[in-house]
Amino acid sequence: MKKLLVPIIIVVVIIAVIAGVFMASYNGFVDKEENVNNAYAQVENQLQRRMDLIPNLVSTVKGFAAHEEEVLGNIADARSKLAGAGSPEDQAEANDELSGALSRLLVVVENYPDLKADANFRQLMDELSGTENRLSVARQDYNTVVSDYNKKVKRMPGSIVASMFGFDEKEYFQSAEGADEAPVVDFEGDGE
Amino acid sequence: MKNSARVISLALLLTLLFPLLAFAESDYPDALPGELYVQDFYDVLSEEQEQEIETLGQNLENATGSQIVVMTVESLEGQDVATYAVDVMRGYGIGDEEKDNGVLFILEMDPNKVGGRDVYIGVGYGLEGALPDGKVGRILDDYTYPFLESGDAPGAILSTYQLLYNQVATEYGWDGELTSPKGPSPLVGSTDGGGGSTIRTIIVGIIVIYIIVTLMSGGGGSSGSGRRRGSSGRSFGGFSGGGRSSGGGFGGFGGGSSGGGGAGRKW
Repeated sequence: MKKLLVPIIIVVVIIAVIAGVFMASYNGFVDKEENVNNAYAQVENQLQRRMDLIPNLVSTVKGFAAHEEEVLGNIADARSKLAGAGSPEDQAEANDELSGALSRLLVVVENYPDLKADANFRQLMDELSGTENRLSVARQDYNTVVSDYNKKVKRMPGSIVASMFGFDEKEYFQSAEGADEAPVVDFEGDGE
Repeated sequence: MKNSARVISLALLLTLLFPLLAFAESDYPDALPGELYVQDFYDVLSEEQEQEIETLGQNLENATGSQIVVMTVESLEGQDVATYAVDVMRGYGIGDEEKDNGVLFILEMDPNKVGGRDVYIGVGYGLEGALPDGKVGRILDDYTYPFLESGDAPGAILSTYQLLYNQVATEYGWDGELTSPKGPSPLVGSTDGGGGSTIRTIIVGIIVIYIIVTLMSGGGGSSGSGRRRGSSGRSFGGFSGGGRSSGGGFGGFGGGSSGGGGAGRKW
């Protein structure tokens, strides 16, 4: 009887240790996943804010440059595409398209000094470029926590726990290089 | 034996830092030693003007816990100014750590810059309500540009700093009245927040003095082999302070962050 007791205790201790390691690892995944979700909420906030600003911008531009229908139409299309996008990948793509449409608008605006000097338009452009800066910060913060999380999912002891409890890799929010450059209003056109 | 342990710990440190390095950070100078509110790398301001801003900044911080920093650099070397501002605000830790109420006013000075120099005001999370991007843009149009246009960069800095000062003071319900640079202001908007920040300033000061004293006392002895251990321990401690080791070196910044708020212009 005594001979059996020692192995049993050893086995129980080993099982307890393994269970402890698994639990700690599981909790670690829960925390990291929550970080990812939080960071993503920030990204979505800024995307939403961007979409909210667009109708205002479009109607302001229309007041000065009503016949630039193509540019304005592209912006509206890109915006509704962004509103319908689901995954981070789709959102990033639709967001790039919106950025492209907005930068074409900025080119057109050069031909309308009155519009460029309009206080309302300048304010909207400041809000919009500020939102883009926030978006790029939020996106970078998100990608940082995703990278942290994904490494944990893929690395060895963690990967066992991850596959057992269904912690999958997360998508990065990737943007085409330079597509996130915020448009800048310069001082020229200021009361000339 | 000791060397291999060093290599291993260095490798470990690099692995730990890897997630930070994976996403490129802006290249910006470490904060000037002994300076807080005026990071005048291009030497735009005279001694008196610097003093004026330091006094304003110190008063504002005493009363509200907010920090407004003005920074002049020769060139951003083509980096995006908004990203640069966020990295500087986070790297220096401008504003209170919990309130994130820092403001950073950056002027790029390079007279030969093609396509316009950048001027930018970055706003911490905590002040985005008081200084929304649209308003910041208007401040740049009305209080900064008229001076820059006539070549008066110091005037632009003083005018803009004063206005930002007033805006932040209003946000905290403080009348912005200047007191003697020594004692903390008796005109604290909310006694709670103001008192806390004063205490925090004192605590931060004590910690900074402590760090300086330990650095100095250890620095002399680190050449002796007996002190090795202590010195490597310290360098680890320094890193834990923030992404950039410069974070706690000079003291005074509150550890605030920014989410990218603000507005900029070309001049």
